[in-house]
Order: sequence, then C-alpha cells, then structure tokens
Amino acid sequence: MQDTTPVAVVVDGQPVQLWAVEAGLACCGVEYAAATTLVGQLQAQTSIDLDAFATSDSANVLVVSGTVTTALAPYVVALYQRMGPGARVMSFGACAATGGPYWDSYAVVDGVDRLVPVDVYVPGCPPSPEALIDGLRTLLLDVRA
Amino acid sequence: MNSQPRRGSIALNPPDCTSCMLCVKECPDKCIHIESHPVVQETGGARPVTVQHLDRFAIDFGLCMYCGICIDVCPFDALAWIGQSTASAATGSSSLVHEMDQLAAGWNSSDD
Repeated sequence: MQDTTPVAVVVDGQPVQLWAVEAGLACCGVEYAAATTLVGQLQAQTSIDLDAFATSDSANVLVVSGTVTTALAPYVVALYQRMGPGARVMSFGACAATGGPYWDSYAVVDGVDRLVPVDVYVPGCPPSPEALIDGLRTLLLDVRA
Repeated sequence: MNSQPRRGSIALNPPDCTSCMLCVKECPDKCIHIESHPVVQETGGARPVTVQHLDRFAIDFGLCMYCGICIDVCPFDALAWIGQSTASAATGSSSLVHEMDQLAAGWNSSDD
C-alpha cells in the first residue's frame, strides 16, 4: 500500500482535509480521486487558500474507499492509528460499508467498521461525486452537533 | 415514474408487490430482504385462493450496487428508479437499511 495523500476540499464554505487511503484497495479509490478532482474544480473560485490547508499536518478524515481485504486490513488499522485522536472515518462505497458484492468472501472484511469506528457511510457502487459531497456535509453536521 | 436506469435511488410500491422473491433471488449481492406470510382468501369461487401478505421489504443501501436488476425483473413494476441521487449518506450502517415505509415514501414523492 502506498502512503496517504491529503486532499483539501471546501463544503458549505468550510474547509475539510481528507486523508485518502491511496492504492491497494479497489476501484472506489479511482472513483474517489476523480470525485475529489471534480469537487476541487467546483470550488476553484473559493477565497480559501486550499494549498496552505493541504500542507497542514492535521488530516482529520480517513476515507476508506474500496474493498478491504483481510490482507490489507492491518494497514487500514495502522493508518487510522497514525492519524491520532479526533480522526474521522468515512466509508466510501458498498465494499467499505458492508463488503459489497464480496461480503461472503473469506478474503474480504465485510465492513470496515469491524476494524475502525466509522463516522459516515457513503452508499453507491461507486458513489457519485455528489454522493461524496453529501457524505462530507453529513460528516460536518455530525461534527458540529 | 421513469423506468430508465439512472443514478437515482430505488423505491417500492408495496400494494404491487406479491412477495414473489424474484428481486431477492436476482440481486447480485443479496441486499433485499422480504418477509411474508400466506393468507387464504375466500373468493366465492370453487376454492379459496392463497396469497402472500408482505410483512417486510427492506433494501440495504449500504450493500446495494444500484445495478437496477431488481427493477428489471419485477413482473409487477413494484420497484422503480426515483430521483437523481443515491440514498443519503448515513452516520450508522444500519440506517442505510431502508424499510418498507421509507421505500414507499420515495415512491409517493416522485409522481413524475
């Protein structure tokens, strides 16, 4: 598994830094990358300096996108532990939430919430970019509440 | 009600569902749950007729791939695409399991 990549996005005027689990998982990782690119384009006119935010060490959201195999499960847990206290976890797509079509496989974790506490589940196979934004909004509302 | 597949969600019209279980069987990842019980109806004809009464119809949208096969196989058009987006993100995995009343509410809210 490769290292993580911070991605900064703005939802409802509030900057959110996502720390994506890159590579090694599955197709949702590609979809997530495409979705964040779209989100970045949509927010291109914002006055907030995203580059400055993206270099911050305070990554606060771990996005688990893709099928979590039992072989990769320890890496996901290690990644979560490295983020420290206050880290939020987003389950992106059917595989991360429940195992998806592979829920009955011996080699797949049927839901990443068996490994780490999940704050928000984004449904879809894959989720659309709009679903990602919806998930971020849900996460922000949850943080504010 | 638009029958063309699109990136929407899936709604149910409970009166049209006969608990035939075709959607449950065809769903690639088994995300549809149906519970029913038989009811004997006196029709006034030569013999009574037994039909299934739908007790529970739930779709686990945390598992659903939005492939639309359930909509395609339903012989009674009790399932349909609604809206332009998938189910809303949830803070608990169990709240992505939409029960019959929630699925029916989606049906009733989209008479386009």
